[in-house]
Amino acid sequence: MPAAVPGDPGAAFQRAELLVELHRPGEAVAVLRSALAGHPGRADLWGQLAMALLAADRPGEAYQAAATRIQLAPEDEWGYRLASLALSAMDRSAEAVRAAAESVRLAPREWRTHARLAHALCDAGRADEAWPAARHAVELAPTEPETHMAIGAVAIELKRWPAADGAYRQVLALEPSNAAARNNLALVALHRGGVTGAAAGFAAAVATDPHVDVARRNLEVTLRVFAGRLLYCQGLLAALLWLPLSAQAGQFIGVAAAVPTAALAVVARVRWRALPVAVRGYARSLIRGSRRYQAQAVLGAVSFAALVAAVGLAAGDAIPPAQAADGFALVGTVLARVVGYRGLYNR
Amino acid sequence: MTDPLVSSLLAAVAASPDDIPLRLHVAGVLLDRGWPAQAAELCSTALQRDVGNAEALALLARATRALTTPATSGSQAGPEPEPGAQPKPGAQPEPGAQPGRGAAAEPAEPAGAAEPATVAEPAGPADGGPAEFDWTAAEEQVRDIVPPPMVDAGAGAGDSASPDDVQSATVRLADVGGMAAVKQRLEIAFLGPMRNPDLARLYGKSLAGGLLLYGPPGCGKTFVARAVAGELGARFYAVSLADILDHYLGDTEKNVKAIFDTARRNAPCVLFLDEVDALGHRRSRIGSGWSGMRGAVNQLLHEMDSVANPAAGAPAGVFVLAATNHPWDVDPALRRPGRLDRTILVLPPDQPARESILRYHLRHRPLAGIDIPAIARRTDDFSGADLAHLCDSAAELALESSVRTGQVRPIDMSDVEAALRQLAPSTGPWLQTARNVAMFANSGGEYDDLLAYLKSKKLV
Repeated sequence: MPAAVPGDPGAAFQRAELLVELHRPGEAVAVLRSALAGHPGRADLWGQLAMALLAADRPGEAYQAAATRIQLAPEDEWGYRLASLALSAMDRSAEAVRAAAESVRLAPREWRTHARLAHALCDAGRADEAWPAARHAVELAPTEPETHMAIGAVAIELKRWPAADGAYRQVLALEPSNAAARNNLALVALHRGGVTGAAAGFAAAVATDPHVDVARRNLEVTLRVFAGRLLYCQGLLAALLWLPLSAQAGQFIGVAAAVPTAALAVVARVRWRALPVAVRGYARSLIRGSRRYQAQAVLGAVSFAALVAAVGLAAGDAIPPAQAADGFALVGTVLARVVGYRGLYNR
Repeated sequence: MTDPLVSSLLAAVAASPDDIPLRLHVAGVLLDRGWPAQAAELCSTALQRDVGNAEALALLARATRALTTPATSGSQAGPEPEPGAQPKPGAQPEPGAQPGRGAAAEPAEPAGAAEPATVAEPAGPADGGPAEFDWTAAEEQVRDIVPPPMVDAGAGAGDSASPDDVQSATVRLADVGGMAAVKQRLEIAFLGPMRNPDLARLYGKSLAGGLLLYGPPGCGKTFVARAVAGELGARFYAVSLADILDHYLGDTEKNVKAIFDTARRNAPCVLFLDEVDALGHRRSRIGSGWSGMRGAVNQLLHEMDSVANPAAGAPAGVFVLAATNHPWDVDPALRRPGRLDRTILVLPPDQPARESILRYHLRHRPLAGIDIPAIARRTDDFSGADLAHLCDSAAELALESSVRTGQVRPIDMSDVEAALRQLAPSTGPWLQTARNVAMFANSGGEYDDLLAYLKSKKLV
């Protein structure tokens, strides 16, 4: 049985690579630091260390490791690419672009350098310049999922939703277990207005890789958008009915107001039932676990009840109470929207 | 120990372990005859059985003072009495003496002790407080005062065996504290059919296939696996990720085969694959890095099948158990019927289990007024490893206090309370990921038990 040679830098490199794949970057860092103590001149170990540190969300140390690799192997593109990644993670976008550009200069036929440059330019707010870089990466390696991920990222920045959608679908065709692509595809769907599809997409991303918690957080935001839209419609209806309910009463106005109110209830139910079962369960758990969401749900439900009461009172010739109930519905709906509002979605 | 009277008294204590007055009487005799370490041990045991016993506490203090004096007072107090030697009058320090101070400056400080100046200074607030406390020196000073300062969690059970180290399993399920649900499930899903193969066949229950234990880290999966081996009367052969990385790096397919061959040679044998998510990682998620892992998974599948259906003449009796913190990362093919088709969720210990674990980790330490049930009630979601850490932390606080004041005292509830304020259960991140799985990746119902647990904790 072949045994690893103690202190063998090649074995340490392999171990670290595996540990990073297994979501154990901290252990990978320890393995590499131990190996580097005996082999400080091994550029490959410094590069792998930078990778592990990036995976461990320690970009400052990763940058130092990448810089050491650049010193040891100045003509190799990997060090610059790693440095660019670390710099982007530290929000030093201009330097990240310079490092990525240097990697492209050193290896113009390597798709990874172009993909990195595209991401770095995106992070620096230069998405127009990133597009050609991403296209170049795809031309060099059309079957490599990461090149299509770069296209998708740039397309999102440029708000080219069909291109982004197509890029992420291409990634999933090449690599169905790519949770990041599923997450970003759902993000594109959310941008294009498809709340139900976005919710299903985020749920699928979490199911594909439960370690990717950003998809779950995105799902929470999507559900807030879902609730917000329902409340928006409810508030709009209450506002539109306020004048008619103030001026007239009787069976005709009651029926006229009841139709859109009932339609709203039906649409809300249909949209809710269109959400995947897991998403509905998650929505319920969110409400159970948050006083803010509980308040939103109660306010929204009470406001809708007030709206229904207003319509019923108007149908019974009670103009002032109907007006008051409708006003209550409007205020309650606005309050519910305010209470539930919290930030924008995450990427 | 050659004194016949003492030997007889110790025999009497062994025969009547619950006789506290006898135990304390013998402790007093031992103290008088110059065996403070043995006396301290007897006092500690007495305090475990009768927390807060004033006589035991007084004797323990005497014993620890006797132990402290020669080791820390240098030439003024004289040498440590050898076992059997008569204690020297005046060897004990005056009440309130600072045993740590003078000794630390002595040139004869044992090698490895901390800088004398650091030890000589009391850790008062003006000196920087406990943050600058020198633990190495402190432990060196009181090393012999209290019984074993640390007890490893499940010593000999939680450690990963060397890959060629096939051990006989001596642990039984009865040795596992609490975990009634896990034991019951083990009996139904695994042990019962194994013990009654004819009955199992009568009901069409296949004996092939292994068992996958999953749950948060530090909750005793390895210990349970070892206990299963003990129940089956089989040898125990544990292989962990560290073994794979440290010993088998290279031709992984051959290495996996070699592991199973070793298990077959030692049949009946429980082959325990620890961290099976590493060895049997989802092939769809294995990147372009170490491609050898893909071959390892394929080989593992082949070996699992051959264990379930041994060829003619091949030895049977290899039971495959596996453990993982992340069953969702295990290749689905490994969990198909005939392979690791039975799963058991090993959760953070329940109240009775927590009490057992706490008693285990405190059993050799001097205690006073420790309310084990109360601690267990306040440590919901703590893993076994967290509980061990809690005990260690409480002991450290008592130790620090003893060294600072020069008065050795047993661990009390204030130490535990302080340690509890500093610690949080380590199971949180696992529960977060588990929540994602239970809510979004449970369409087949394979994580229903996890979902039920999370619901009971109001996490979903």
